[in-house]
Amino acid sequence: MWNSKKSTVLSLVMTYFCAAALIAMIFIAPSFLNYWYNSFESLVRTILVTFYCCCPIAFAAIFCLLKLLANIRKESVFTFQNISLLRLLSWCCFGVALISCIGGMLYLPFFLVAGATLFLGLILRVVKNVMAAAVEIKTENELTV
Amino acid sequence: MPIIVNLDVMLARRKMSSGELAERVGITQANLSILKTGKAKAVRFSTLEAICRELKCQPADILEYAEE
Repeated sequence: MWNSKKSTVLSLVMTYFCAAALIAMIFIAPSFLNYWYNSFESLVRTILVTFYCCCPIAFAAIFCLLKLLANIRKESVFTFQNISLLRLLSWCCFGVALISCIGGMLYLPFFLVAGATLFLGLILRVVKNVMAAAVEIKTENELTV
Repeated sequence: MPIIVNLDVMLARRKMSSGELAERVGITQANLSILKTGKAKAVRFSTLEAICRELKCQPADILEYAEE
């Protein structure tokens, strides 16, 4: 029977998988891109530079996700720490959107990536606001005798 | 906070301990402590009713409004 505990474990597994995929891409990206875009050296360079600039932000986002999932597994869900982690996650998305925007000036499809990550960051901000309201309600409830 | 809870005064008058009141009212000692120390954000009418019943007093005897 599917439950929230299994769902959290699935999210954790997917996050570790993404982290592993990101680490693998860091090493194989140059040869991967050279295989596909053999005669487009400047394009490969643009894609690689944009990708490597986004990598630290991606690792920060993965760290936030892992901390969030660890807190959820400890049944510590509606806390100020989780709100901060969601805020940081949204800023990571905005950071990637900005870098992709700059990359988009050299390679147009990066604008799509920028748009998608900007939208994702906005969704995360709204989720953070919902969480903040929930924390307020929970705190008031805990201090109701 | 503008609402002051004067439970200690009534407890002393009725010669009752906080633990005893908490047990009779049906709340934990921690919750009663939250009420006594002014950290409570809200009080349920059911809790207020039980406190007044056990301390044989009126809400005004334990709740006071003081402007900040």
